[in-house]
Amino acid sequence: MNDLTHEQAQELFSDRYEGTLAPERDAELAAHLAGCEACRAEQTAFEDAMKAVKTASVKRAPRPPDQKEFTARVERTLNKRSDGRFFGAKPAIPLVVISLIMLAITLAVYLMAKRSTTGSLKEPIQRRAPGGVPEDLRKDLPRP
Amino acid sequence: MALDESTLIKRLRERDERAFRQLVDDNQARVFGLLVRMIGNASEAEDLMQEVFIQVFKAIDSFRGDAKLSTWLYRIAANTCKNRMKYLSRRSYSKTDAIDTTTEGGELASGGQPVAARVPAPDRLLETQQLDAIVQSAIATLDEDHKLLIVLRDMQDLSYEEICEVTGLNEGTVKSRLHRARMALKEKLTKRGV
Repeated sequence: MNDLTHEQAQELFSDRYEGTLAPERDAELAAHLAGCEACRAEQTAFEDAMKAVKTASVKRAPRPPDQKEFTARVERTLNKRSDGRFFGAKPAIPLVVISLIMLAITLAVYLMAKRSTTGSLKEPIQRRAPGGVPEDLRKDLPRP
Repeated sequence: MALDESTLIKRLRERDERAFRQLVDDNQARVFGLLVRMIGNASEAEDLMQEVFIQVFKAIDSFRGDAKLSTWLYRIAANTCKNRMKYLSRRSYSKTDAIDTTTEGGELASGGQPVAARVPAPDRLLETQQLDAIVQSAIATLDEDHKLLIVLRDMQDLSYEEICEVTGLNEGTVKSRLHRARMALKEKLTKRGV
């Protein structure tokens, strides 16, 4: 007499097939199978099915398409979809780095121009009239 | 000379054509095996394989290197395949190269004797092309996840570790689902006389 139910016994079929069933569990399964004709039939059907799958996969492995032809086809499709830009070395310096360098150069030029006394970014010096009031504001002053 | 994996990945990222050819050469047969067994149609599988490799080349920059390159490729193939199967099922696509002679009940689609009646003992069947057709037919009727596990483990011989990486499932889940898939397949093959 053993403790495995039919369901528990059938749960072990895969492990036994893979050879990963612990010896004590294997003994329990063997004991159940010895006394249970239905599970024995299930076990035989399971093994036959696995054998059929294995045989079909080994003897009738699908033949892949011609390698050269297939590779050329994939290359053509890639080139077509990328307008011929897919293959070929990427630029040594990524675009992000180039953009950052350009930004830094622009900033440096701007700062240099701003500091320059002769640069166009220097604010024009307002000429002051001898009286201390700019000529254009003088007309707004109250007349004596 | 074949490039080692890290060099191959580096060259692929540089869009090197030689690396591209090596990746295709090394993996074409296995990827095709997976696709044709999942889809059941060689020309459909070939079209799909082209899409798989194109996706791989486009996405190579996002490959983190956590798994082997071939496993990552398999993962892309499995996902592409699932998407295509959903698309095909919406279009009620059901034809296959090898399986269109039998139906779920083990009967010939175009009339005649049931398969079980004309099939000899299993040992004799093993030498015939019929066996492959019957197995493919039974696998084709499994649900998508069961089919993928049977194909990966029992037909493509992937390890459990690889299957976990391809499917994103943990090992316990893979094992229990695979067992259920095998039991379902056994039922279908028994009905077909294997």
